Amino acid sequence: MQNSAVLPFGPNSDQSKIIDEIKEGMKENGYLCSDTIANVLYLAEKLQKPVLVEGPAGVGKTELAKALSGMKKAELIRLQCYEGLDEAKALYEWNYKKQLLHIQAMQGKDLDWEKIEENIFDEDFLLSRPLLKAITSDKPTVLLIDEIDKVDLEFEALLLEILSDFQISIPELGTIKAKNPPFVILTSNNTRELTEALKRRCLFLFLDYPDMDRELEIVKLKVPELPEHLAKQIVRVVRLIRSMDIKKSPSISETLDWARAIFYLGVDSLDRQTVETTLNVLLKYQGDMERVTQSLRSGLRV
Amino acid sequence: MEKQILGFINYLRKAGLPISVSETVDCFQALTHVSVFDKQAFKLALSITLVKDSVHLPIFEELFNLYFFGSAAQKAQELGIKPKDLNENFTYERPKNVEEFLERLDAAIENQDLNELSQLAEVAIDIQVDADQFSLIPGNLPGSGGSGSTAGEVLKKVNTLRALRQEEKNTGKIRIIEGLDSWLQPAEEEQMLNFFRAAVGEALQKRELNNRGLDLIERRIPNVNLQETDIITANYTQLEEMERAIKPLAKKLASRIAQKRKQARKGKVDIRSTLRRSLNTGGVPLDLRFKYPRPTKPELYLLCDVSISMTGFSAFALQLVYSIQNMFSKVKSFAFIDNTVEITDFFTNTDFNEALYRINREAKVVTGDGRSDYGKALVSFYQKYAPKIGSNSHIIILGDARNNRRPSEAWVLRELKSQVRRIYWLNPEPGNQWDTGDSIIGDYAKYCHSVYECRNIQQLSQVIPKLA
Repeated sequence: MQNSAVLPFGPNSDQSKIIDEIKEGMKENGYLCSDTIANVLYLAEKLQKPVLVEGPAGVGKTELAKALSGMKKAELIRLQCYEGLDEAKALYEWNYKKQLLHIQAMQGKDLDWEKIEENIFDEDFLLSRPLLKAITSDKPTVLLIDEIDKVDLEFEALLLEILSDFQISIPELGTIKAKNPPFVILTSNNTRELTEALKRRCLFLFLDYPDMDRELEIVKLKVPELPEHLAKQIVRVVRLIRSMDIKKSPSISETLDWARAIFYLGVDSLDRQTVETTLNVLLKYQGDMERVTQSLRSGLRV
Repeated sequence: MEKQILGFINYLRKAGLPISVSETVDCFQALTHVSVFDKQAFKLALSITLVKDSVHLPIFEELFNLYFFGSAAQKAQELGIKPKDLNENFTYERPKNVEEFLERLDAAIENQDLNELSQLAEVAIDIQVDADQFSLIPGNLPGSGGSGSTAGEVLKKVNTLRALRQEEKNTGKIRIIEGLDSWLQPAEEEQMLNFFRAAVGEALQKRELNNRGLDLIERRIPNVNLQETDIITANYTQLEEMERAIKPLAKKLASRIAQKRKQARKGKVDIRSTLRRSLNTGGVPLDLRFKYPRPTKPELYLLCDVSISMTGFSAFALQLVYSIQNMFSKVKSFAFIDNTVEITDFFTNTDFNEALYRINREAKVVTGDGRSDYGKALVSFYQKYAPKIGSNSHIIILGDARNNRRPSEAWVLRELKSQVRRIYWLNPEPGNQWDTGDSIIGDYAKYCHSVYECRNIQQLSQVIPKLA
């Protein structure tokens, strides 16, 4: 081991350059990447591995995939997961009605059954659902599998083949391999423990609420017309509210909504009155609102 | 280098992270694409390939810092395993004097920069007072600062310094905080200082161990692997850290169970939906659709042993059970040592530890010598509350069933079993200690629907969902 001073891991001079490019590209598409996110995207690209993104609702998990597809000029194929999603809706389905029509149309002609059967299990009769579409696409694609934690366990197993080998096996047709391996992003709100097998195949990115600087940057990027000092106040208030013990913490998208609302109100500076009256943009539960209002009133020396 | 990383992975595994071989391979592959001189990229390459659960991220964070900067890192370097540059690149640029320290501290508080705060916490230990002069000892000299002082003392120093500085700056002027800031500023500052305080405590602990020449990682692993630490034998710091770990877990559990309840699929065939589906297949109902059952919510009765040995466990278990309380139409909790008292009203505020402490003082849970008497407690529960318990109820008992050789009065459970839907018992002792010594869990188990071993947080979080 002594000679391991020779690093097996090449210090890569390109790396930091590529990461800067990623950040720049994502910013152009309206997404502010932290170093962490940019690094994850870089590694995922290099390793050709799916990225599993987890975090509280509204921190920009889905947005990440959208911006990524914009940056890579790739088509975004989205599979929204829900309970009871099955392979017919996610992978492929035989177009039963078309097959039936085809058989009826063939009835007059002298064709033996084997021939017909061969015909109707052709790719023409295959309805591509998002996963198959992503695999067979000629163009580069970003495949977003949204809220993977909502599907049943069995469906997760179905994804394993796609995630590790970028291929799908259809019994009647054989294995279809990806022409362009899609860039896969899975998002999860962690309402259920995902299986080890799935997690093993992915890189894991935990997205939390951003730190103050980044959140401020995001507000400035998305609501550029808002004066700087107001943006800062907004972010500070949101962060303070997040630290309180409330039912639903305000997410980034709610911060942005609120920032826009404040902007349209045309105030110069945030005061108690403004915060109180616009709180319903930020908070979605009556109890939460009462709690914040109360704190606001007790903390303010009028 | 490979060896060193494998060593690190080994520590992670010891700390309870399930890392497979294929993940190790991924990790090495990822490392070929990043420069080891870029700390952040290096760390990230390890974390995204090895850590697959957000619960494990803090563990990774701590072990990474210890391993690559701690005493283990030095040891590895002595053995020549580690490229020197790595360590140098990872060092933090310390403030050079007290003035700079304060400036950076203020900036970190204002910008809510947690990273900087925890770094500064380590520096804060090195502030020395000598005849009213504050000075900062440069570098991480062995035996310097830290040892002997407490977090409170360090903070006092820092606070004095900050106050002095504030005075100097304002000379005569009174700062008026107006408007919204009067709400924001104090709260923010308090939050950041709280974080800083915790960080100082942690830094002191590390320094202490380091000065004693102990292997930090080996020492920290039991504290870090909270998921698998026995609750009843845990020491104070471990309990404190568990306390911190359990809050997000409770939240997670709550949303998970709501989900599971919906997914439970057993029920009658839904004729309407099945027929609608059958149109696709020419009227043949190939695909059966089911109606999802809508189970009625049971009532929950929780009985907790709150004797000293059990308090920690009861606090955690209660906290987790309460996280799933919306699965029940009503939750009532009771505490006992040798007498059962209803304690539901103590939990209106959610600090469970405080509530349990108050219960021990204010509720009449002891009538005798202060040692557990399950028999008496059960009888008193039965007499006082049983008539009001409906048939659609779950009873959960938290305790080790160590009865100090008193009569078990297990007939109470037999009676209750015929009256309610479910009786569960959660026992924090390892299974092999059941029915040894004065433990009479076997007597009670006969009349329980299930008895679960709940030694640690991991087991607890697996069992709780089964109770709904």
